[in-house]
Amino acid sequence: MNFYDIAADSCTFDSAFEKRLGFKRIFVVNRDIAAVGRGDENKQITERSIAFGKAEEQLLALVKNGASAVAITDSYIDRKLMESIRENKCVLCLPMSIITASYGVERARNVYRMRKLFADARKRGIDVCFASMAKTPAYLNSYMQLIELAKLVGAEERYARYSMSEITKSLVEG
Amino acid sequence: MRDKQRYVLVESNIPIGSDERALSDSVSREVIRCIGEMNYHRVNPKMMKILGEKRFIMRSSLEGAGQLVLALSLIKRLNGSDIAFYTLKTSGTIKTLLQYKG
Repeated sequence: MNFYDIAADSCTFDSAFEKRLGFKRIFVVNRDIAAVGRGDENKQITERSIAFGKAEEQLLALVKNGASAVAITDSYIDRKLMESIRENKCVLCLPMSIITASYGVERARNVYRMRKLFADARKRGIDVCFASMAKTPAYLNSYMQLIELAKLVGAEERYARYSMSEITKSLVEG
Repeated sequence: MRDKQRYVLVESNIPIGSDERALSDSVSREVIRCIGEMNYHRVNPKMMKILGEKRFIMRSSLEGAGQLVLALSLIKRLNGSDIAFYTLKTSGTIKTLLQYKG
């Protein structure tokens, strides 16, 4: 099984490191997949892209305009947006660096919120992509660490593996 | 009866030094902080060997290997320095990890 990860555009690493972590490829935002956000609400999105943002209305517009995925930034998405993600066959991207970069009570809160979000998404039949979204190599994980983080937010190992291979690949490569 | 063990090959992003005891103590302290005292005995982690500048092998119980891998991904500070641990490979024998060429 080939595993894939997605990192933020500021993250730099070499291919040997990528292989050591057990990934076939670590995709980078803005290099392998476009990032859309504030200012793109009125554009029709035709390329593979991930929507970033906190404002519900903004994300809702981006999903309707054709964003391929929505990456949460504060572990919270309202019901209306979740429904729109399902209707538009969008992927929900859970950045694991939210968990690894936080500490103590804040981390526990993030895990709790992400567990709820994951359970809600799966109940609605939304595909979930687990990606590190690391801003620096220190927040990258090996494939087995990413699987354990996915299990921490409530995914079964089988689904975590499927997500990191099939969902992530099809999200970026189509 | 002997419990089944799992060995984990770990790489750090900064040099870890050669003092096995000091590294073992500080990693154990951080692992306890991540998984909690009640889970620590189930994982039963042990520092086995330091391999070069940035790599080491840890041992855990078979059922606790996942928890150890998770705890290592959550550790971002050790002895006041920023650090990251990447688990490269797990195996049932230490020999396999010693032969790892990655």
